[in-house]
Amino acid sequence: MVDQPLLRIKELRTHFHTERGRVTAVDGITLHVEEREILGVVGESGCGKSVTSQSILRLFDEKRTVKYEGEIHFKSKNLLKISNANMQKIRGNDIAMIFQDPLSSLNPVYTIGYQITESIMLHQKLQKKKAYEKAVEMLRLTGIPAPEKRVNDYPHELSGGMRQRAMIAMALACQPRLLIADEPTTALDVTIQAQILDLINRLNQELNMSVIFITHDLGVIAEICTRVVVMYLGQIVEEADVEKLFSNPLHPYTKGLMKSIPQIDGDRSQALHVIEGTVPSLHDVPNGCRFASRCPYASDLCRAKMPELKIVKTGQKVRCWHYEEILEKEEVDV
Amino acid sequence: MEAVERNAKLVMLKNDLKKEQRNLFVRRFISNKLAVTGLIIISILTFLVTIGPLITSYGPNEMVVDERLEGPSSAHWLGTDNLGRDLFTRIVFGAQLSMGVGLSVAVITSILGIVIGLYASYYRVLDNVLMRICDGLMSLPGILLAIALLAALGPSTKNVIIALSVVYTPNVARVVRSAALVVREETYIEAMKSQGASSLRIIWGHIAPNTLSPLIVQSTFIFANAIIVEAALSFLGAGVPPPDPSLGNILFDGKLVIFTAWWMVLFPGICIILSVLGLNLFGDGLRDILDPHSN
Amino acid sequence: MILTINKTNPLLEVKGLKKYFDVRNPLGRMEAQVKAINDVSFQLYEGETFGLVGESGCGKSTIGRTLLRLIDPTEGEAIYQNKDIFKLSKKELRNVRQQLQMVFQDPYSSLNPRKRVGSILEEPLKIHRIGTKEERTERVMDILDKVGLRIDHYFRFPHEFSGGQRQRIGLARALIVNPNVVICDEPVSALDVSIQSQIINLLRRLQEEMKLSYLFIAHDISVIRHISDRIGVMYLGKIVEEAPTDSLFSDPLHPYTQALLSAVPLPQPKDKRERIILEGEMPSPMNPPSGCIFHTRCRYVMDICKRQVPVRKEMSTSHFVSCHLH
Repeated sequence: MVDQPLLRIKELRTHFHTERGRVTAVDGITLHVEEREILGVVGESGCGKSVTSQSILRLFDEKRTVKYEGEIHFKSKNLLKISNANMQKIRGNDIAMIFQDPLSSLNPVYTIGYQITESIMLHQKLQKKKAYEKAVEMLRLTGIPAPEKRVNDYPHELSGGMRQRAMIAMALACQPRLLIADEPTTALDVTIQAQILDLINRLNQELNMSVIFITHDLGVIAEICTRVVVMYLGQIVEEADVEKLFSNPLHPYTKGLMKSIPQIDGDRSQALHVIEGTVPSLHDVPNGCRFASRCPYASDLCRAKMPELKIVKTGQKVRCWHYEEILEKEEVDV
Repeated sequence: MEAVERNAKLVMLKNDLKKEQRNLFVRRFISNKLAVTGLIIISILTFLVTIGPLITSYGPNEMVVDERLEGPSSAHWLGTDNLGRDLFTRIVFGAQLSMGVGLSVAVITSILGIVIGLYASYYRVLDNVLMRICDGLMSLPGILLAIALLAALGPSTKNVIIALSVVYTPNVARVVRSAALVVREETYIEAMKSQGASSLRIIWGHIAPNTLSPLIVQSTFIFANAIIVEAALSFLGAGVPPPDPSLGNILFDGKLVIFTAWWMVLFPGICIILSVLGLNLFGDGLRDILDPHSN
Repeated sequence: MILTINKTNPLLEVKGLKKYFDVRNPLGRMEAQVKAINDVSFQLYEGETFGLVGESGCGKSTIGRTLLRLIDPTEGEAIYQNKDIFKLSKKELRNVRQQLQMVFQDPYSSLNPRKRVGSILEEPLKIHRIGTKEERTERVMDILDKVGLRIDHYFRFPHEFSGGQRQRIGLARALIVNPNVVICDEPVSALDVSIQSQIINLLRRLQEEMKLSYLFIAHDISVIRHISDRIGVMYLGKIVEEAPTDSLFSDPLHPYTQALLSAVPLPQPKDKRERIILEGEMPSPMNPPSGCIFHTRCRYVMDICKRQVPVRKEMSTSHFVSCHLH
């Protein structure tokens, strides 16, 4: 008997009401996160990767702008059904989140120590002194040098990398089961990014914590994740183990994406591979396959009818009508 | 041949664009209830004030001694005042004057404010000088400053406009300056500098258009405020000199007979309230429409 | 793409460039100096792309802005067409600015939101008083076509475009006056992966078509490698290593370059390389370390590194490094 996955999302749809009508930013996402795994979610801006993660924590204003559909199961509860008060208990406690820009997600008028302590006291009912000690311990865990001193610093006194560490310390303070990392290294320099990736990897192993790692950077995905979900315009187009995804990408979008990044050891004399066109607007979603307008293999079928996300022989999941033919064709070409 | 085709297309696009743009603004305006309500109120008032002189058979200063302090009737729709003047006529002319003062002040302060605000934001040294002067002016209560200025200049409608413009220009200048300070730091200004654009071109061609929407909003509020303060000044006897009617003058006359002739206070009061409310609603709505963050 | 470069005659030569920013206390007294650019020299040859790579705060963007005189340098010269850019009169400067253009990082804030694309692109022509009204419109339409936009876009506002298209507009604005040198300040770092490759290809195509020289400033090493002929690696206001691209990547000499290259995550999950993880962070440019600026984080630090500034040495053809190891 296989254990229940830690988080199971079924047919999640997130609709926004805008001036120009209703927009479905996430359109039927089904995915799960196993215990202790690092799930990568990759896609370009507007693909709905961040909206998915924020929907898990129900961070949007439900009264005015957003409507959720589907199910999000976490610890045998459907997060979309529970009350706001219960959701509040889960946020930061069972599921924590870190963001791209640590400066705007930390409150500038409080010390980082105060902010971590506050979150611990809120969720764990610890005494102030205990909570403070724990805050120092968390800062140490994330590799901040001299945490006893740093704990009294204000966010602006820390550098970008240190701030992201402080954010992580804050997120980890209540030992969450699931950490959602939304582009946590995008604003950082590569050498600092390497440090933070190392840290997340280590914490994932030491603390038995699952991670959803959202990024647009395929290099980062390859570096840190075990399983990957590729998103395009609100849908999952491919899901695979990280090795399979990189050795054998099936969806034309995944393939295009991989070919279009300049590589540190690739051929420089050639022009880069280009995915033509731009992502369609969410106000004007195509009827058939959403990638059809940019896909070199698109047929009439693609433009007319949306393919389902199917499991294929290799264990991957792909949303494409023609992936088999494309594979065969490529083999012939080689 | 190709070039001709291209130009023809450009002309066509330009025409399409004008239509589309007008439609979009109208649509956004209509969907904004505040702005529409405000505009309706102001339009009705403006309409009444414009046609009022044509439908009344009295002059604003025409006294009928027998008919003093009469209540509303078919002969005098809003009654008469303590000197037997027709109240409707006086309110119409008074509102005309008050709104005229408000509009003039709004226009003058906008022009002065944008010049001062833009140059203050662009040149550091000028900023210190101009803004300290503005600080000084703003540290005095508006009404007191206006009274002091009027005492020095002597009471007349023109001087009321001058005094109120002096009082409100610092407000506008500050709004323009703070909007311009944000714009000045944008990369597109740097891009213009790197092209070698002159300061004149940068200030008026690139920074100024970006300060227009807060400026317009601010000036509708100043329009409304100027009406109130003008009324207050006239009420205190420092504004438009009697016997010329202004809303403040009529209120001043009504104060003495408030217990016998309620209409003398009520109707000009309503008129002030409506015009100020209309303008404020309009300004609020305009802010929502013009603010690029709201779309 | 690798051009035969006329090595004898650089198009633009930067010598001993320094830019110190004064840090003043509230009373206006100077407290410290931020050494954003600390003695940088390099050459840009005709038709080539010189890449400047480094992490945030290393001063690479300040160099671009200084060369366009958006910031005044503290010291140094930049020779363009036998004249020092920093000593030009206002009128001469305007001429030079026509030939030295810049493409900015942020495609959102670099275009005036209240201007239509047509008038954004016409503006540089107006500033440099080029052509009549009709000729200018013609040129705007030509350049739109060149950067892959359509006439339909002429009357649109910037906010109606995606990031990639905006960057095309930014590029068009720089190219419409027919410059010789284009300073590209992180032109693709704000773009999505699939759009990035479109813009990089466009930059390379236009370089060939219009005979442009690029000073390409970026933090993304893979992008820099793809587009540059020669690369300068910057750390804390100095160029620590400078080499032809292939030579730099096959044989990185400076310990910082080595760490930088190894930190780039590869899209190949199988071969996990041994990574050099740099300890700590870049020291404050307010008081850079004595001796070699990198000694606080260097794996191979020796005594001499703390005391003595390393001199720049040519290790192989055009491959320069400033390090006591070599």
